[in-house]
Amino acid sequence: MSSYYFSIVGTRDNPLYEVEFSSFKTATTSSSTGSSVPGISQFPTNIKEILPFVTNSSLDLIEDFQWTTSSFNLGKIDSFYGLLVYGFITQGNIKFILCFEGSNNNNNGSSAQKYNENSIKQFFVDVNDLYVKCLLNPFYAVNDAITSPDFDLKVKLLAKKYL
Amino acid sequence: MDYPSGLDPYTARQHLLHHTFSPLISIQSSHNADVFFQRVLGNENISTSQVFRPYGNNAKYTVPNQSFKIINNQLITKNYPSFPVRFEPSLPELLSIIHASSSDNSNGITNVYSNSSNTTTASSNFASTGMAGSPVSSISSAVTTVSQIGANSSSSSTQLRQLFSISNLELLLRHTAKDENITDKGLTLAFFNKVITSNRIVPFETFNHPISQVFVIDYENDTIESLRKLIVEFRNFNFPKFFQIDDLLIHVFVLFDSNKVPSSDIIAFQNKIRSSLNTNSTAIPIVETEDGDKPGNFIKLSIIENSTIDEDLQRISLQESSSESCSYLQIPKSADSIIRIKLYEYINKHLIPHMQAKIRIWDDQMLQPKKSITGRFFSASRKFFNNNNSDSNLSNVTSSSSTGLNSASFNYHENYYYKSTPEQTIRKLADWSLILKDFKYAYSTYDLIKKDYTNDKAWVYVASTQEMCIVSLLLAQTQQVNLNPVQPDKNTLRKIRHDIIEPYIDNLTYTFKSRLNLKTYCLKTLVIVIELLLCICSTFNISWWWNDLIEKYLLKLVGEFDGHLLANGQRPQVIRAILYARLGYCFGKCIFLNDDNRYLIKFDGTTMIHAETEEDEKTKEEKEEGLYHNPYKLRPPLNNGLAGLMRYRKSATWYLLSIREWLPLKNYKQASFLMNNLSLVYNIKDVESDDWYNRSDSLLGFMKRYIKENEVNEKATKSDE
Repeated sequence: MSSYYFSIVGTRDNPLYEVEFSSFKTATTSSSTGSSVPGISQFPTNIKEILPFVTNSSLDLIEDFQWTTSSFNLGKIDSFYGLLVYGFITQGNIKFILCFEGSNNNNNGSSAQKYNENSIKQFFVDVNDLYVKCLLNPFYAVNDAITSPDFDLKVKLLAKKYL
Repeated sequence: MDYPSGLDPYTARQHLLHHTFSPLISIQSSHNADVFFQRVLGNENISTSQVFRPYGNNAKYTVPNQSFKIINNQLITKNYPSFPVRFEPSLPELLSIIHASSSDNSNGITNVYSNSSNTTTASSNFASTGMAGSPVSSISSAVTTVSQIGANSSSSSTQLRQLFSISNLELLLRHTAKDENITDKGLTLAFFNKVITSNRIVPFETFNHPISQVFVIDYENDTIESLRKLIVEFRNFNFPKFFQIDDLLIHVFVLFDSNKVPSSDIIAFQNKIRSSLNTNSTAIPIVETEDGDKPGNFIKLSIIENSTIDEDLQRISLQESSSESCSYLQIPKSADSIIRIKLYEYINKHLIPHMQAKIRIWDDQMLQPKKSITGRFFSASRKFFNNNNSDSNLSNVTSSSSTGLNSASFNYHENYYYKSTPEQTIRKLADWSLILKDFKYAYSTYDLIKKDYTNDKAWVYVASTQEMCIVSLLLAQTQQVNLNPVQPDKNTLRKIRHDIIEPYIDNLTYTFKSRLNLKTYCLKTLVIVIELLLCICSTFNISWWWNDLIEKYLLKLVGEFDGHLLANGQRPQVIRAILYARLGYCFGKCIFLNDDNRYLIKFDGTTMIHAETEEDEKTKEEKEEGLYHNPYKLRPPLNNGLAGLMRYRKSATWYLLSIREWLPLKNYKQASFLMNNLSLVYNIKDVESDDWYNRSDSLLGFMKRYIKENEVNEKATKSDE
């Protein structure tokens, strides 16, 4: 069961929203052993404390990468310190970044990875819809932190659905 | 703007040329010469080789208007402002030290630093060979005991040994990092120097084979006969079979007191040496000063020059046990200047011409026949038709003569070519021309001889030659001939990277690690190649082409060091911190802008790159006129034009990881040095601001508070005192 760290970064390199969670996909098998609670991230401390910085450092690559592709989904952009980083950029220059540990338990190699990439892409697209809805709120200004509990819940539901 | 601060790769390149690719000169002194220097310097614990050692670095200890004239094979003359040499103890001693330490280390890595009994045996070994400076009773007896070891060593040295001990390196760097005066740059340089400095004599590269053997004698107490005895004993030493003594330039330094001895006597003595021993000599007049006690008459020299990891550890443990600081040497000013002048004379008049002459002879006799049509024909026919004596190759190498027509003259059992074979000589030719800074010629020679080694399956030679191919190529590319270097075109870059560097590195890593189990040699190569690639990036502004390769190699280094030290139960903190900081440096210097757009970089180091730009005058005026002003309009950040063209944020993250390694070692000084390299990305001064990176559970916030707490504590303890 891999853990994920998702964050939305504003135009000033400031995080607007961040969440840690773990996959529900394999949770059924691992929960039977009782080792961990599904949905709760399992990052060790030494990784947890650098996650925001890894996200920040990947902005350099996102800004480089955004000119090479016409789609908003940038796919895998970096692999740093054993963490895989996926990115998505919105029309308003807001970046969605997802970090997770490169898992070794994907036995069936590239097909699983492909599936993974597609679901990450879907996740990003749906979060973008949510973000646009959030942006439509007249009381929300660009680059403000997103504190709505509804938004949080919906992102978590999307995570459960796709990841 | 100099951001991030770190070791300039050109400094590393210079150190590489000074400490590794420089002529090694071995020094053997008579007992009387040692006594002479001890009298002049007023120091009982000094040996002649210790006095000469620092002066080898003539970039540091210069004479006025010094210039070294080197004529290359195309008869083009170039002048260089410095030409450093390395003074080491004589070859028999070097071999015996290696032998002694190899028997010490035979059961794995021994910890010289903490293991006191081990240290004493090793240091007593040094003392007996005249390194540590205790007066040697008689050189001849030392040489005879050493020659016995030498005779045994030829059988025991079949197993090649690691270049250095990684654990010892970590230990030494930990000690160095505690030094109050060392900066982050100094530490990186110390790491680089220790990895590249070695006086290990191996068959497959000849940089550590002495080029000249210098005998130092005292005119008043030594005679021609004693000198002859020294030379004869030296010549009778049982040298390793791969070492060619005929290439050695034998030279004599005659010490005398110019107040007591008239110069005509010295000239007569020198003539006598020349006629009876067929050896050139240099007279060094040194005056014993009467008013030597005045501090103004002395010059302080550091005797730590070109020291290897083991020597450093030994010195540190000796200093700790004896409390006597001996890292400096006091030498009278008059003696200092005369030694500098005479060494300059020796290098210019004897050493460089000797090397040039040898290179020309080898080029004529070995290299040109190989390059010629007939040579190629013969080597091809040899390869295809002459493979019936393969058994004899294995058993007896000495019988494979120097005619060069025998097939594979490689000794598979002990991994060397016999000294007079063309393979060994051409390798030496390439090494020497590299020392004389003819990098292009060296590259073509390495490239040529590499094929022969591959045919002979002499893997260790192949790997070492591949290393030198890369190094000589990069040295040639980074040789700044003029101030406006022309950027190599894309095809050249592609060839250098994909046809030379990448495959060769992969290949030599495989050979050193898997075939020979000599990991440290390939670590050394990686460290050198990384610095040279950084040089080439900064010269031509082409980091876009090399950056990922440098990152890959640095991460590979981290992995190798980690793997080794973790297996031995150590956490490799200092080495890892240095390598992470180097990664930070390499990304910080990564600017994907061409020269025309460089004006966009306008950070002054006080603001952060993503800070908003200031409102310009025009918008302010508009506001005053009462026009509508949208307060929510976003202003572009400072780095707007540079989006994606810099790697500052990535660099900052690596620096953060490096700082994280320093904190458990409680080395706050290094941590705060590195902290400055974050200033463009994070606000490093203010801990209490509500920026995201100041949260107590994030790394930076945690570290800032930790360092601040420590500062407060330090102040408190100081005020208590």
